[in-house]
Formats: sequence, structure tokens, C-alpha cells
Amino acid sequence: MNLANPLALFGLLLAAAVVWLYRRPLRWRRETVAADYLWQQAMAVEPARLKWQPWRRKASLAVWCGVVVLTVFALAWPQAARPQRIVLIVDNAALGGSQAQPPLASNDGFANIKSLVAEVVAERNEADQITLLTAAPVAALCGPTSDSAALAAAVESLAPAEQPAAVADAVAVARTAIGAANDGRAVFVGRKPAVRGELGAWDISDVYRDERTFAEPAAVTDAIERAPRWAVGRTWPALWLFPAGLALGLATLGWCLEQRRWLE
Amino acid sequence: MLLDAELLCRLRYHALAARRAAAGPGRGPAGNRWRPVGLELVALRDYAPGDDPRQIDWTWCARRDELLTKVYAGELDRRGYVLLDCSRSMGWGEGTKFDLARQIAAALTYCGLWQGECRGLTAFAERAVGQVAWLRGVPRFAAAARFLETLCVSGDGTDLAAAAVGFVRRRQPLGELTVISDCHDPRGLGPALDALLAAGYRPRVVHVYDPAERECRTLGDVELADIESGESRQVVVTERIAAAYRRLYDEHLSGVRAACAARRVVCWQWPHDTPLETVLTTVFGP
Repeated sequence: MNLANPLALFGLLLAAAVVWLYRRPLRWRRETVAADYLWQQAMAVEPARLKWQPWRRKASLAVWCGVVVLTVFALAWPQAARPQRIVLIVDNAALGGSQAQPPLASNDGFANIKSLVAEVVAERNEADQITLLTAAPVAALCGPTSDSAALAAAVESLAPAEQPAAVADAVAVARTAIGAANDGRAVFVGRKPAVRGELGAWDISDVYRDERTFAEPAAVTDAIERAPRWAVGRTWPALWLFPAGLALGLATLGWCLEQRRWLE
Repeated sequence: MLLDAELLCRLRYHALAARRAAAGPGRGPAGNRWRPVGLELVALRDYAPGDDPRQIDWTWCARRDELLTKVYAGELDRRGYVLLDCSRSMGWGEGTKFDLARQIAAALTYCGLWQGECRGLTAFAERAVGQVAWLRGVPRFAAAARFLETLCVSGDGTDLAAAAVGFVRRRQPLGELTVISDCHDPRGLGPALDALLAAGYRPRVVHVYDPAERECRTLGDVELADIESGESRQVVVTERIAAAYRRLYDEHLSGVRAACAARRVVCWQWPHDTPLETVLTTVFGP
């Protein structure tokens, strides 16, 4: 959660505006009536709930402030759009990485891997910093960058290597590249998913692209390091808070409309 | 212009119909046996269509080539008055009640004059604010029309009883008296009718109202301003209070009818947008 979010600050300004509006003297709507004595009789017959009336304005202010605070919280919550540091480890070994793999029948298998890497790069958020790392040998094709052109060039320069892949070394380099970033990610792209032993103590999200099938096997493994557990599905709190705030706002609006406070 | 030429023509028709109706049931135009009550000839007036030819002063006609109708003492004794409410509440809303009230007053006065009655008009709010008395003959209708056209809503309230008592104290000859008002008097219509009945007048009530008065246009924090006194109060109008007001307004309408029925007084209630023709048809018959 980051209250330095510009939208959150704007929300706090909105709260200040709401309080200011409520502190202004109430403008009474003037209604000219022909039979004032009938109105007086009506007031005597059905008196307004006098105990409630002094609190009505304060309650309305509290509800609106609640709506604003909820909205601010929702805005300040980590968003999917926050930039991440992603290290893309590509198993470019011609024989299929560290595991025993059948030899490739053709170069189509590596083309699948390249297309998968290009797809992962294309699906990133604009601000995500991506490092493209090959596992055979362990080398960075492009440093942490969000430049689409540089990333595309790096993906294009991927080529199969004859030597075996050093996945463990590549993971170690990736760990270094992520460093102390709170929401770093390492994505392993190879002919088959990486296994826990290869990625050390990292959590492996095995829900990533399991359904993908290629003529030649290809797989992506998503590993997450140092990110809070809730950040795995980091959009859900915002998705929950926004409708909640919206619902509360609508409820307040309905209440105000019922009281005809804002109708002229 | 309160009454245009076409409407005046229709009014003459209505007055004629009323006169025939007064002659008794079963008597058509050919059998009109309407007679003046008295026997003493006191005046001559302009001939008006519908007059009995036998009452025309043919001698005068032969000498001056002018049709005049004889007026007898009994005819002059027939009097009619209009008590017209011109309080500020009559001017409330769009297409005000006051316009219809003035038209009704003008129509009643014109018909009365056309039938040879002596007519009087009194405008009141919380007290009498002006009057035109002792009108005789159709030509004097111009004075009544002028009075009505220059009349505007005024005063700080409506006091029907005070207006009735004030009218009675002027000791005007007895006759039929039509009260035209929206009856927005907190004290009600009863005391006024009692005062008029006790004095021997034959009152009838024309209650003009605006249906929009029944509706509450705004809810919530409202500053209610009384159109009559100008005083305002800040109140919180809830649905319950609005419903109570609507109920009280309905009771006000039925209360006017009940007050008249209890005293055997004729009462008509019309919304402010009622066509004058409908009013005339109801008052004078089709």
C-alpha cells in the first residue's frame, strides 16, 4: 500500500472538499405556500424526529468520509499496473536444458520458445523492467529495460546453443538481478517446466501456461521471490474494495436522495 | 379584459335561462309569466332581449323611438352581492385562482344587472379593501369591470368572518350574497356564514382552489414562506409530514363543503383552471 499514489492523494483532497462542503452553512430551499396554517397543523400532527435531525448532517458527513477513505484505500492498494522487475530465463540449449531431453527433430522447437518469450514480453506491463537471460551459456541479452524495441531486438537475437543449459547458474544471476526488489519475478521459458530443485527455494507457480501445447514441447515457469504472499493475486484487494466503496457510495447517494438533500 | 363580447353574449343567454328557470318549471319561453314583484313603476331601463314585451314603455318608444323597459319597485328590491377574496393566497401559483374568481364575480354581476337586480361588489382580505355598491342597469357594469380589473391581491391574511361582519355592519339591504374565496382562513368558513345567515342574507359559496397547493414540491430542509403574511420558517419536511399536509388539505376541501351543507348553503368548488363556461353552466343551468 502506498499513500503517495497520486490518485490516493487526490482522494484525500476529495475528503477535504467533502468536509469543507459540509461545514458550509446549509442553504434552505425557499418554498412559498398559500396555506401556511395547514403546514403548521401538519407539523403538529406529524412532528419530525427532532432527536435525529441534529445528527443527520453529521451522519451524512461520516458516511461520505467513509466512502472517500475506502476509495483512497482502494486506490493506494498495489495495482497490477505497478512496475515489476522480471528476469526472463530462456533455456536455449539445443538438446533441451539440464534435464535429459530428446533431441529436437528440427528447429521448430526453438521457434516455439522464441514465440513464447516474445509473448511473455508482449504481455508485460509498460513499466515492467525486463532482463532477458539465456541459460546456455548464462548471459544477459538485454539489461533491465522497459524499452519495447530493445526487448524485441533481444528476443530476435535468441539463438539455440550447442552447450547444455546451466539453469541453476542462470537462476543465481536472476536472483542477483532482482536484488532487493519487493516484487521481482523470474520467468523460466524452456521445453518443459522447471522443477523445484532447479530453482532452489523459490516458489513455483505451476498454473502458468500448463495448457499450452506445441508441436515441440515448450513451457514457462514463473517463480516469485520476496514478494508478499498476497501479491500473488495482487489485484484482488483492489477489485474487492472498489465495488465495496462504490456500493457504499451508492447507498449514501440513495440515502441523500431519499432525504432530497441534493435535489433542487 | 375580464369578459369579452362573446362571453357577455353567452352571459345574457345564461341570465335569460336563469330568469326562465326562476319563473317556474314547465314554462317555456312562450309561456313566460315572469312578473315584477311590486306594482309601483319606479324607473325605466334599457330594453334587454328577453324582457316581457308588455313591460316595454311603448308610449316612450312612440315619442322617442327608443325601447325602454319599465322597472317596478319589487324588481329594484332584488339585490345581489359578491364578496370577493383578494388576499395574497388567491394569487398563489401559475394561472391564479384570483383570475377565475374575478371572472366569476364579473359574470355574476353582469347577469344580475341584466336581470334588473341591484348589485354590489366587495373585495376583502383580512378586512374589506374596496367596494362598488348600488349598481343598477347593464351600463353600470363598466364600473364593476373597472373595479375588478384594477383589483389586485393584497393584505396580510384572510379573515372571512371579519369580512362578513364588516359587510353586515354596513346594513346593506338583504339579498343573495356570493362569497368567492379560496377559504384559506385558519378559523374556517363557518363563522362567516353564521354571521351572514344571522343577518338575514342568503349566502352561497364559490370555493376556488389550486390543485397544485395540495402537492409538496420539495422535501428535506425547506424554508416555508407564507404568501399572505410573508413570514418564513425553516422546517424539515419529511414524507410523513407531506402526507399529513395532503390529508389536511383534503380535509380542508371537504370541510368547506361540510360547513356549507351544515348551514344549507349552496357551495361550488372549482379548480382554478376550470373554464368559465363550466362555471356559468353550473350556476345558471345549461
